[in-house]
Amino acid sequence: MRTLPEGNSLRTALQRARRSHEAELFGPRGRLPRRGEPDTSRKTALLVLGGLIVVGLGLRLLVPRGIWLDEAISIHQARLSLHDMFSTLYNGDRQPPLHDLALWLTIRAFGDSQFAVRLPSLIAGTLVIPVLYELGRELYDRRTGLIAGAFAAVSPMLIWYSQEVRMYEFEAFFGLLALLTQLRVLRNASMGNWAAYILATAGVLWSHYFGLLLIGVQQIIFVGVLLHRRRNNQPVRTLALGFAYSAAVLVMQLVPLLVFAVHQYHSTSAAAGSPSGTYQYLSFYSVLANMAWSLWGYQPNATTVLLAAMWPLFLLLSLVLMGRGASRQTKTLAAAALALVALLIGVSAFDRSLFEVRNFLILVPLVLLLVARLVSGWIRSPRARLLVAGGIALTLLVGLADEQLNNDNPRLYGFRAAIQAIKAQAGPHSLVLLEPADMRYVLQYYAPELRSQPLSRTVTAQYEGSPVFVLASFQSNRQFFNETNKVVGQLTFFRTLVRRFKTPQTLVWEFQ
Amino acid sequence: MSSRPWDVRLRRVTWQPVPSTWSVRRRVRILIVLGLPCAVWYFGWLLNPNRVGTPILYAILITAELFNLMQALGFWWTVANERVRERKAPSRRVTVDVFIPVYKEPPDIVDLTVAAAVGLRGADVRVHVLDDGNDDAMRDLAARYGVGYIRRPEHTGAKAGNINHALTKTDAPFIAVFDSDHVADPDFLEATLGWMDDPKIAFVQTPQYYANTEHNRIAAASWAQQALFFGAIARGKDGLDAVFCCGTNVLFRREAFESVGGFPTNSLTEDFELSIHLHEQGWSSAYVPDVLARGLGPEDTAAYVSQQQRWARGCLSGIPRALRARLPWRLKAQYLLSGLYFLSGWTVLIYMSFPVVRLLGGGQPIGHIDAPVFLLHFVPYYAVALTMAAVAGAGSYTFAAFALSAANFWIHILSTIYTVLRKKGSFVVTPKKGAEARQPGAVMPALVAVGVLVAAGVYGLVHDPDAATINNVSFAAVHVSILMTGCWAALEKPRASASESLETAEVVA
Repeated sequence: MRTLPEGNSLRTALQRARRSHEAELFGPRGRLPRRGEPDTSRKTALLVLGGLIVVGLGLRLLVPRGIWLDEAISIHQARLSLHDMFSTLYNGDRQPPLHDLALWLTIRAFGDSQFAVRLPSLIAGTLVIPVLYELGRELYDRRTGLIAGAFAAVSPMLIWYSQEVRMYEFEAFFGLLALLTQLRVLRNASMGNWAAYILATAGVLWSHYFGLLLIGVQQIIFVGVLLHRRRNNQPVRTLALGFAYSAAVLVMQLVPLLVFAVHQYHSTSAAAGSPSGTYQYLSFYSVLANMAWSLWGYQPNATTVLLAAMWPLFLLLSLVLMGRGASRQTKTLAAAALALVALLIGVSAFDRSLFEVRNFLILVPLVLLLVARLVSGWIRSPRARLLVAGGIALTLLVGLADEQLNNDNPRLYGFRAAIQAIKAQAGPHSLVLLEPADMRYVLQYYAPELRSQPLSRTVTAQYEGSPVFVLASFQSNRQFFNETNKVVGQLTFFRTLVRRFKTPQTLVWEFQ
Repeated sequence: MSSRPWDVRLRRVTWQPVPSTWSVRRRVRILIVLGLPCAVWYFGWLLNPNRVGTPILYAILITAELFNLMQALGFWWTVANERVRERKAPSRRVTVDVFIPVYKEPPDIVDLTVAAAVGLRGADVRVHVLDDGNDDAMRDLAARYGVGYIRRPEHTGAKAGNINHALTKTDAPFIAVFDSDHVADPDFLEATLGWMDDPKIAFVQTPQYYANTEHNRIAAASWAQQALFFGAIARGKDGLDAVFCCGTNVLFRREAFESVGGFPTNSLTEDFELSIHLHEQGWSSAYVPDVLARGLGPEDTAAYVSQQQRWARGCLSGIPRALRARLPWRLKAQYLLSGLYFLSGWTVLIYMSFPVVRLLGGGQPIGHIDAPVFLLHFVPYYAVALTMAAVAGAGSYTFAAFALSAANFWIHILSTIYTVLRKKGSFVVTPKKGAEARQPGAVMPALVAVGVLVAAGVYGLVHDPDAATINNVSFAAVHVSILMTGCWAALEKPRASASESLETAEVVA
């Protein structure tokens, strides 16, 4: 019998060494079995990452759309004194206060221009790119991190919420950071890593209540790793102590947060069914639509219906995945994402309007990372890999363009254009009737000088002979539609309709 | 030792027959608890008369779905009864005749098979090359290794006739059979002979492992199909005492063989029918799941098609035999399940036809529903069924295996027609070396199906690009992707034959 060449013995020994590391759940980085292809060099990776951040920031700065209702409410709250802002949040909102606090500080520092108020989201949204790269690098390799970072740079949904004065991008950023720091803790349970993890989880927890779902999944991962290590007679003491400490800090935060949340829920439950709610029921269609949106952004309903009609392709994907095998990292990541979806569906069963992609924005980068891993792990040829990754990025860019520019996008509200048109025509005695009443916050932002009142309130004699404008939106809501219809009908009867125009999701009537 | 030490059949076995974690039996039973309500949920909804769209299409869909349900339930039942039999060493020294039937295979393939057979431990081994090809090179090979060489004057009954003839020339109480390309591990008999201490056991079957999967798409996909059968299914059949003989890597008791008059010679799958005969006579069978011999899978599409045609025709023609057999119900059901599997190509044809009919302006099987409602009922059942295949296969059953099987749907259809028409088939030995040219002819029916699906998709998009059309085009795209994956090996430029490969390999010590 021939003996094996020495190189082979060495290779076998190296493979064994790798396997021994892999036995440790989330062992040291860079131990994934490879095909002998070298990873992207550190220098190249940093250069490319820098380019991606610039591209990502540039795309996030191309903001063609104006402020919409929820943003205007946040801006209104942040303009109040700190005490009044917390009081308003406590009594009339449904979110934790971290983003509002950041916005409050930003307005004090930079004013309330559209760019300034969107700055916190812009920063968080841009930072998602390097954090996702780092998570990809820690879990797999630099190549996967770069592909994921590229997807994040052009992701329509991540860009959309980087341009919105709301807390969703904070949730995605801190959520990713929480996952990254957890991974580092699992590999090296140092004080610094634990501190970073605790801060990151605090960030996600105080940004969005659904952050608690992510933290819940993370606790399950901790318990799983501890049990796994114990079963393999590996040391668990340091990790267990850190885990206990972080859990104690978490509970300490949860007490005030839950008090805050419960009060908010009771205060606002009467007004449940936000006008922005997309679906009155949770269905496979809403799941498919949200999945399509999470990748290609908000699309017109007709496009969403067509995208959802492609569901048989999921059958193909499920078959393709059969027998592929996956690293422990991928399995855990996919399981965490699925667990999050399951928890969200569970939560949405209580309030079905909650099942919206913005409420689980953290899933978007996770899905992008899984897609990046599919590309880097399955495709062997570098050219084909680049082609496929480029093709995916291109579809995301097409989705981005459609999302931002197509006026049929159901989330695109033309309040700014409508109010500017009203402003151009309105005199000092003009009145703007608003439906829904919360539109006053948008008017307050763009035209604080205009007098306004809710559509439901009777127009007093004081405005006899003065121009009256009706500014209505959210007309897919039956209650708002009926109210608008009734009042516009009455005004048409008693006054002269000068003109009627519309901007995306917004209707304006001008009466004399 | 063979003159070809770097043969792929000496490589380390990459398949783990029995998962080292939770038993498949336990996992599958948990999934069955989930799967049965899902199946009831889906079929309870589907069979509601309100679902009828175009009546004829609905009837066809229901037939296909019920057939698949029957196969799925049969699969679940089988794998839930898994028995993992350990190796069992012989308790006494016995003599074993080792038969290597050959028919015009290349001598360099048979060489290592004979060499390995000579090296079998655990019994007094008498190796015989049963040459049905009148090949003098084979006689020389046998002489070189000092083993028996049996050539018969008349070559009737193909492999079955060859073995039956050899039975009359030999007399050991046990007979091991290896196909000409199957290299036995030295401990094959040490692992199987012990089970023959039970006087009721007629044969001990072991897996038919393919060693040439690393660089050959067809062999790899073909092995992935085999791995599911020789993994969870065969272990499940063993648990139900229903293992059937697979013709190679098997140890027989001569007494059992002789009690049924040897292999039946009027079947294309003589091993399948022999097993029915033996079980009818009250004999039992056993399955040792360890890989104890390594062979070569079909290396090109034509070889795969030839093998599948033989199996399909043999098993389909064995169905009436299984129905008539005086067997316990569970054995009869197991034989029927195995035989009926070869009708599944019809369901592929049916599912492919629906989007074509719809896109060309025809009806659809289910009417008056929207996709979310359908998905709500279908997805749980589909997810459990797919998970069951993944769990039972322990990751060895791949998309490529599924696609290869689906792309050769027409084999089942043709075989059914031939079987119904009682058209005679001939035993064709699966070629052991891959072709050196592309083989579009071997996948022509699948390519025609691809053409029809693409044409229907284009027609639909041009005429009425609404959501329903997109949905049906997506279905067509799914079928096209599956078919093209299955056809790809026949359309790409062939690589070097794995059996010819002289690459450096880890050698079994």
